[in-house]
Amino acid sequence: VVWNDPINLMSYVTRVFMDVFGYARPKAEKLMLDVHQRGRAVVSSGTRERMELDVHILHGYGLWATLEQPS
Amino acid sequence: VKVSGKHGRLRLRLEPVEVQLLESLFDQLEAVLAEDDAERLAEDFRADLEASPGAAAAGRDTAVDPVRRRLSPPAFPDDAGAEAEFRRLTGTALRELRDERIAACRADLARGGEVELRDDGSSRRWIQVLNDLRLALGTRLGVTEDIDEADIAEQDAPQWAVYYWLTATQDAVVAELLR
Repeated sequence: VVWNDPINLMSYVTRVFMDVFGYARPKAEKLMLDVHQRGRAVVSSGTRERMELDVHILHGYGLWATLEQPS
Repeated sequence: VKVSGKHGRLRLRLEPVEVQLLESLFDQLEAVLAEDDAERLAEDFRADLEASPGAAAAGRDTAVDPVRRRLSPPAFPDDAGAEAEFRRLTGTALRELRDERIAACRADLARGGEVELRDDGSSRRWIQVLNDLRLALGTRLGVTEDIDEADIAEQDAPQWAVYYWLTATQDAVVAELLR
């Protein structure tokens, strides 16, 4: 889950989603807008180990990312 | 600063004063990263959890440097055990990653004010390092979603100017990358 924050630029967040997940620009932009407008968005899902790695990578980019178990 | 992208080659042309500014911002960020406060950070998250679940993700005033908190946010804001384990596994790597890219960007600057971002690795580390600097400065300044320029205290004006310069520079580089 990536959370909205007032510092990260919309263009940068889009670029990060493309870079980290290999998403095409429209998908990356849609996710970025979800984060921006709804306050948070699920950007990736999978095994816990895989998601811990994704969160670590997103923290390296300065994004505000957390892990959640689907309920 | 001038950002230009021609024939797939991205270039930053920095004035000497801008090079000096970046070097001094790198010094400040390195000092923050060097603080050995893993224990305090862990304590801090435990306190958050006891206060209310989810409080860590919401952010609050604490004894820990807010910049440090922002640079390594909790992965498991509602689970102290999982969070401690995650930090143990990734905390050092995250810090080293930031130190390494500062060092690489410093090396780029040492070759003069003209920085050529010739591959994905160099353009990535520059947008990341500019973002780290913005996160650090923006957190200190208390940036919010809609800043009213009238609310900026006079003594903070120079810092805000630096923040806006970093923002414009990062945005220009990212725009070229998204082209």
